[in-house]
Amino acid sequence: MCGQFLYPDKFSHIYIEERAFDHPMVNEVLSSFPQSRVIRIRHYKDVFNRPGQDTGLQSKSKNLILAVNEGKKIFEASPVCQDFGYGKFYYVQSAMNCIFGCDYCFLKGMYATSNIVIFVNTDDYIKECEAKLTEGPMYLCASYDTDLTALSTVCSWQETWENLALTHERLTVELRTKSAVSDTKKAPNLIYAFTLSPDRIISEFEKGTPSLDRRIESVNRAIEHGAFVRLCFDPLIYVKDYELCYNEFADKIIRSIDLEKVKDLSIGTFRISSDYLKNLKRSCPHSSAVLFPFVREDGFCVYPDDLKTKMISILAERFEGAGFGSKLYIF
Amino acid sequence: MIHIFTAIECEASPLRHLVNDDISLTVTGVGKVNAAFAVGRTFGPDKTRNDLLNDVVINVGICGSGNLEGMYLVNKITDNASQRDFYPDILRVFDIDEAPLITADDTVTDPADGVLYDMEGSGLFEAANKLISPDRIIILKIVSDKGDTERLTPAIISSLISKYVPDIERVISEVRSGLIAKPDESYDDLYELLHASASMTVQIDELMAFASSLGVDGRALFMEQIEASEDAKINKAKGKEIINRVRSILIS
Repeated sequence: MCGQFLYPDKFSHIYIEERAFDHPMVNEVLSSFPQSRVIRIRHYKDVFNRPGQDTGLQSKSKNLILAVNEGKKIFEASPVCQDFGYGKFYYVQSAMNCIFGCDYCFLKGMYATSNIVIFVNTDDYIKECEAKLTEGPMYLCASYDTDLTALSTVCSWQETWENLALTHERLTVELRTKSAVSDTKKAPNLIYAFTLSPDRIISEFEKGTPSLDRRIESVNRAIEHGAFVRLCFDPLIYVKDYELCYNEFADKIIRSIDLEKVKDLSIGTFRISSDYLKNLKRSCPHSSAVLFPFVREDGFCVYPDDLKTKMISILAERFEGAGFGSKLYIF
Repeated sequence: MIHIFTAIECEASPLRHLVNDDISLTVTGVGKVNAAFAVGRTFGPDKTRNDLLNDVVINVGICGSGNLEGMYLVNKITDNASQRDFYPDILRVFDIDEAPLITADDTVTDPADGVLYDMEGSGLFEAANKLISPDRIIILKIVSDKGDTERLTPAIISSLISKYVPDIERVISEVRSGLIAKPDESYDDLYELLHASASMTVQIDELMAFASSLGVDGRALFMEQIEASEDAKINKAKGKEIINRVRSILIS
């Protein structure tokens, strides 16, 4: 089912675990959504993991789940993740799923729903993080299963991780986002990673996300504030005239952003687990981003080698030519 | 197809006029086992989720409540015996008040406020959700009593349901507007022309879907390559070559 009668772009229903009501974040979230209908639930998985959910339809009418995470909160990242040279690379699951609806997002492949879970027991997260820090310095990706910056209109998780980084120098926090609403803080152990894509990719495949101009403004504002900024050109997505598309994009980036002041740049083409791709195709059955005839390598679907090399070299050569080769990470 | 289920005949009779080739009406019998069995029987033993992507289940029936009145769209179902919860996925705007439902094994004589009580909802939902996504299971309950069910006659029940028929019709109309006819596209002709093995048919399907997403006529592209083939007879090896050529053209 689909159609024009879906609830508009807001949370029509907020499902809240009974045990979550005592946490201050619940009231914080509810105060932003007074029109939402609150449904008390026993456990978030009863809603999040319902069988047979129509993720494509849900993505047009997302709902919110507020829950207490009693399990593990901080995880060691997979070896295929970008660790940017940091040895101990972790991610934290303070929320699951994203407010945006990018066709190619691995979250659509990983989760059985488009609804968003926000865990509200912030103190437990801080305790687990501080305990881990006693073992040594830690690089923590805070926006791994979500876009926390985009969710900062809903909850204060981004601020929590920023403040933790500001008070714990052994902790490096990375906040990755496609969002433009960015109020950044200056600290060497706080990295704002902006994912930038050509406008054509944004309009075709990154539904609900800000335009490239707005993201560039956000990057420049962060640089002006002295924040440590990473630019992520990842994933590069195939379109028929990708050479023109990404060349114009590189022009615009070099013209609009002072790359001298950027910490580093990462480039990577789209790749995804074969299992996740099946779900992505169900969720976005008409998107060329997921219907591409991928090559299968070790359980992952990737672009053919020659295409991958060509796509990466468009941006890599331009950034190297502009003198920023030493800042490049290629995945 | 829209499948309406009611527990008893007097709930169904005001809805009989809705039945047509696209709408069925089934009287399940009272209780959650009967409701679940009726859903299973309606869909049959061989159906899969993919077969039923355009099917919708609507449960219409009376219920008890301490203080609620009128018709409600159920947003949570608790099975009183198992204490399991089920959540219909409410993604569409029906403009009907929502309420939670408790499904009990017997009539609840002292119903609480703010909640509905029936005897079928959990069984029907759980059975339907085996094959139907939770946004296509719609539970509509009409409050008939505060536990004092002995005064309810078939005529009273039918009259109560009749009162809400316009709202039920509106829900059906809204649901129907969202159903999309599944294109029945077959590439059997291409499989045959290219002497496709099982893995080649998967590749053809993938390329056709990708071509369509790019706005390219995939079939025309395949036919061009088949016609351009120098060999009068295409064998499996030639078929693979053509598939690779089409792939190269699409991702060039």
